[in-house]
Amino acid sequence: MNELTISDVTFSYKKKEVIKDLSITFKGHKCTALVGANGSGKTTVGKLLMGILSPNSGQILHENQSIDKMNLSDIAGRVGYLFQNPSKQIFAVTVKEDLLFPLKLNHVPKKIMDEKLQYVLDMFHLHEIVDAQCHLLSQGEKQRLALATLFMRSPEYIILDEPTTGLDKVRKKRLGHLLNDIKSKNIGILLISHDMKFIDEVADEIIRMEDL
Amino acid sequence: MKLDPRSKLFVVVLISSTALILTSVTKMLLLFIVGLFISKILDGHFVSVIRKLKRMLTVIITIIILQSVFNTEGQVLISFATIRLLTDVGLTKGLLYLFRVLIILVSGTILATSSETELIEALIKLKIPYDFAFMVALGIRFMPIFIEEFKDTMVAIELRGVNIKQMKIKEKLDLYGYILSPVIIGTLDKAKKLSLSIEMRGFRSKPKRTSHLTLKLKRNDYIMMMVSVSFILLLVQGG
Repeated sequence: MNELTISDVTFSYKKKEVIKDLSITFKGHKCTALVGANGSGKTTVGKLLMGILSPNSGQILHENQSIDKMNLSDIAGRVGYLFQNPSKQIFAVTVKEDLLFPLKLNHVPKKIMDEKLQYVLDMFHLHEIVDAQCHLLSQGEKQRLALATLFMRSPEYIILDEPTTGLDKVRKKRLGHLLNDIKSKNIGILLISHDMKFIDEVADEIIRMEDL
Repeated sequence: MKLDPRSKLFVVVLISSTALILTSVTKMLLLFIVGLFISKILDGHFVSVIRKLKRMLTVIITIIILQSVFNTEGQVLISFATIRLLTDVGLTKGLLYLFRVLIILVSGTILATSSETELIEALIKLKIPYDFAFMVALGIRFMPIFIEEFKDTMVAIELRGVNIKQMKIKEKLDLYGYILSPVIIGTLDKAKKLSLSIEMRGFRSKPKRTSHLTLKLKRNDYIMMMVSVSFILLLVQGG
């Protein structure tokens, strides 16, 4: 995917206007960091790009195509979204079950399921915990699992909301390596964060909310 | 208009209990209009009730059809071959159900015009033990948070590539198993943290609890209660 675009978007939570007449394009195949103070609207931008929130006015475009009429499930097939709290996107009892259940519900053939499972287990080094219970995983493992779930659908772009929250130095470094691997596969990354040290290590471009 | 939370509780109990015993659609409609009127004069957000009506239409139509098909009484209004699709009894029962739900929702908007602290104080004045009053208020306060969490879970599951609208009933049932587990785990986790937090803040540390709020029934409260009782008596007794 070459670009995600926000065009003249205004958005408010009830009566509080968070974003006003914002226009910006996030280019693909690189890692862009969106930084800003708490409450500056970083997460809102991510949710607008995914279609989780709908703008009051303006348009969200994926590859110059409006996402207005698209359903969330289809959007997420091309653009993956990682919540600030990874537990929000983990549903099943075990890691393996959690990775596979959407495919089972969508009647994906077993052979393809096994291939996809193997691919993400390798990519995110999840072999050791494949049969572990999700609620017993550490924050870093949950983070990796949540990230892995996005790749069960072959996204072309991923949006990560504060991915370093609750991670120690070692785990941050591992996440950094992982993001570099993802970038090397020509997958665009939008990193929403205020962790400047981490951003310096992985981002190719930095956009400040204050400058928009 | 500002009313004492006790008179609001009184009015809410009165109209919602009456909604359970009324069997006439016209009377139920009158009761609903009065509920809406009270909500309006208390600055309640009754517009949300009208919005919810849209979402409930499918349920109401299903109830009307089921009542018509399985109830042998009543005059047939619409039929298909030998199947009774719509009878006057089915229509009446469906509409009664609709108004009962709407009246309960309107009652909620009336209560929501008082703050949590005012409601706790009102319940205490009505001789309800503080612990119970606090639990009721807590339940009311946390309801929107749970609704929000449930919505987030639905979004997260759609982001995983599950298109709920296109699923068959059996698949939907399987899916709800997955949806409920994070919601239940999240709820239990919140309850645990909340109980710890209120203990840390000295909950029940002293046998008697004081409050800066002083509730006093005023003229408007008595008028509201008397008018409500008179209206309900007229409604129930009027044939």
